[in-house]
Amino acid sequence: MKKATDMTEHDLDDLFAAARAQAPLDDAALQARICADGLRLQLQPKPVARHAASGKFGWWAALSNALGGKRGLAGLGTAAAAGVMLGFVQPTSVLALTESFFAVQTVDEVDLMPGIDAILTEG
Amino acid sequence: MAFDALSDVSDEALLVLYANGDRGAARALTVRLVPRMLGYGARLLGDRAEAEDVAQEAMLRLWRIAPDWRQEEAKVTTWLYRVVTNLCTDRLRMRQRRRLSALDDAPDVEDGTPSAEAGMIEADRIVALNAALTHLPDRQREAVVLRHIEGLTNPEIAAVMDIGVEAVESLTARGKRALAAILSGRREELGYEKGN
Repeated sequence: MKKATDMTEHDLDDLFAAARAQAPLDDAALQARICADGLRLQLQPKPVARHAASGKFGWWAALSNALGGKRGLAGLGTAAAAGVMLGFVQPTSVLALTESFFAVQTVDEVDLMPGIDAILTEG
Repeated sequence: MAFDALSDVSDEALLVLYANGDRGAARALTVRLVPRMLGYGARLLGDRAEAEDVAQEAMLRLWRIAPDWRQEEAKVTTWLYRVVTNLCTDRLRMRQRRRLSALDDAPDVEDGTPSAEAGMIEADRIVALNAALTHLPDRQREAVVLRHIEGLTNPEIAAVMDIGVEAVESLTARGKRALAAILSGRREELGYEKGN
């Protein structure tokens, strides 16, 4: 049974109203720290790429980016040059290696377009 | 953008401005959101210093998520209340693990309380309310504070607490009954006279 000394619904609502009316907690030092965090983490606006803006080298820039930029292009160029060099010089060690690979491979040849002589011979 | 010009801009738009490098937006969001989150955290934790840490951590997470913020998904305040709620829950659990009950950390209601004859001034009522709130189970306290002090709607609270609206209604109702029980017998002491 509710006693006269117990809090009523109205009393509680009054307490909540007092809490709502309470001035918000303010702390200038805390706000300064939080704002400093925000400014430190804020991304700076990205400058517009010069080539992309002109459109002159659009395809070249896209290709370069697809290959990994300048470093990617440098690596690709070096690999290509090395391949050309190996093709021309044919070092013996590489020659031996390739021969060891292909010499053991046997391929059954099937003549899909036999000449007329072969057909006549077989009857 | 100038700070004054941002007063009518929504929180969500401010966050987009912030992500785009607007320094004024960072200041505007700080001024607008930090006092609310600080107050909410202090009510959940009953500890101002811990609430400051929570508010700073929550805002740090907001700054970090800003570039990926999708406006249609949630309100900034709802998202922040959820983060603060979770951070406070973690701290309260840590306290329990350290065998430091919320009751031990709560401000003593009796401290500085004026005589019953003189009646309590409003600030003392708030102290009493905050102390009583620390006695509530965590989820009831969150729901009661969000509904009756922070002024969120039930659907907003449901989003913050990741529960259904009916569960929110149940939590707030049980929380109010529990508060009334905690404060029972103190009606006159809190300055409420018969018939009020």
